[in-house]
Amino acid sequence: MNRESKNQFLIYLTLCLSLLLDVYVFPVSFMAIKPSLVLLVLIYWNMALPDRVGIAAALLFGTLIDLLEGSLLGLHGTLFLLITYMCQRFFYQFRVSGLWQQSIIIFFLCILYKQILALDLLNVNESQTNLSDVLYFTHSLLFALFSALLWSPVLLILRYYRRRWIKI
Amino acid sequence: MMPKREYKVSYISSEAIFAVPAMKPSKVILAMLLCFTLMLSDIYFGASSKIRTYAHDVFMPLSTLVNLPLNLISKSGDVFKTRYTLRKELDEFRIENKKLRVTNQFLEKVSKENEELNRLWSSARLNLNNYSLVKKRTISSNEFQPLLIVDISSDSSIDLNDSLITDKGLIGRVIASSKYSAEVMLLHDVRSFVPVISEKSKLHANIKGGGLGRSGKLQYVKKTAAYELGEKVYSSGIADTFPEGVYVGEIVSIKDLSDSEFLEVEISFLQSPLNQDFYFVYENE
Repeated sequence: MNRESKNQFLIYLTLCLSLLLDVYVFPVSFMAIKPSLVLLVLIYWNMALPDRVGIAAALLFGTLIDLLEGSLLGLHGTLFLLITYMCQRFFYQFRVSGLWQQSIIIFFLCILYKQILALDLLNVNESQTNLSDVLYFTHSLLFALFSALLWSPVLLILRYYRRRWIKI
Repeated sequence: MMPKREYKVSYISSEAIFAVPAMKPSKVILAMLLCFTLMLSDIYFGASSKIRTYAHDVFMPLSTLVNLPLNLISKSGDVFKTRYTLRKELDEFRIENKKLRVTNQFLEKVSKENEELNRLWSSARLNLNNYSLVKKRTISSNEFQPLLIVDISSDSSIDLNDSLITDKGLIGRVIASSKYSAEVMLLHDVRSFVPVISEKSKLHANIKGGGLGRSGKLQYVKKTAAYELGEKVYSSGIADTFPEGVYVGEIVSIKDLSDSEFLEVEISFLQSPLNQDFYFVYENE
C-alpha cells in the first residue's frame, strides 16, 4: 500500500469508527442530544487535510447515515456536502482560530444542522414546525452545546492521530 | 514532485504559490443535484425503505467492532496485576463457595431472562402461532421518525405491516424486512396512524404520532366526544393492520380550542418498552 492510499485508509477508518459509535453505542434517552461524531470528524479532516477529504466522503457517509438513521435519503448527504464546502472554503480562517472560537462556530453550525434535519420534507407533521416545538429546539441547543464541548477533545485526539500516523 | 492542483503560479514573480484550493462549486452543485435526485426518489418511490434493511444486514458484523475496545479494556486489567495478587485470586477461585456463588449468580441471571420471556408469552392473548419473538438491535436517533431495528431469523415469516407488541402494549409495525433484520415504525413516528377505541366512552379514532418523547394526538375528534382524562385507549383492529384490543396509551390532555372545530386530545404512549430487549411480532392473518 503506497503512502497516499494508506493516508486515505486511515482517514476513512476514523470516519467509519465514528459512524459506528454514532449508530450503536448510546442509550435511547441520550439519542436526541448526542453529538454527531461523524460530523465532527468530517469537519476536522476538512479543516486539517482539505485536499484528502471532499465530496466523495461527504456523500458516502451522508448516505450511510440516512440509511442507518431512517432519515430521507440524500438529506444528510446534502448537509454534509454543504458543511464540507463551507469548511473547505473558509478553512484558513477556521484553522487559525482559537479552540473556543472554533467551538462557537461548531455550536451555531450544529444548531443549523439540527434544524435543517427536522424540515418536514415529507409533509407528515403539519401540526408543528421545528422552531415552534420547544422540546426539539431544546434538543437542538443541547446537541449543539455537546458538539461544541466535544469539539476540543475530538480535535486534539485527531490531531495527535494525524501527526502520529498520517505522513504527508 | 507536487501535483499541479496543490499550487498556483504567480503572474508577477512566476513563483509557485502553495495553497490548497477549495472544492470547485460546479462539483458541489453536481453532487447536490445527485442528493436531490436521491431525495426525490425516496419521496416518490420509497427508495430508502427498499435498501435500508439490507444496509443494516451489511453493517451487522461491524457492530461487533464497537464492543471490541470494551472487551479489550475489561481483559487488559489482568496484565497489570502483580504475581502476588494473581496467586491470591487463584486461591480464591479454588474455594468451592466462590464457585457456587458464581453459579448462583449465573442461574439468577438466567431466571431473570426467563421471567421476562415468560411475561411476554403470558401476555399473548391471541393465536400463539401468529407470534414470533424478536430481539432489539438498535434504534435510530431520528426524533420525528424513529426507527427500531430488530433481529429476525432468516427463516421467519415476518411480513410488512406485522405489529410489534410487548407485554405492556403496542409498539409499532414492520415497514421493511430483509433476511436478518426488520425495520419497525414506532407509534411515536409522525407518519404513524393507529385506529383505536377508548376504554370507557367506546369512541373510535385514529392516533397520529408526534415524535419520540412527545404525545400522540387523536385525529378529527368531534367537540361533543366524551373522552376522559386518564382513559386508556386500545387498538380497535379496524383496517386489519393491528390486532384488536392491544393497549396503546392513555389520554393525558383534552383541549377545546376556540379556533378549531375539533377537540385536541393527547395520548401518552408507552415509553419503557423502548428500553427492553425482546418483542413479539404479531403476524397478521
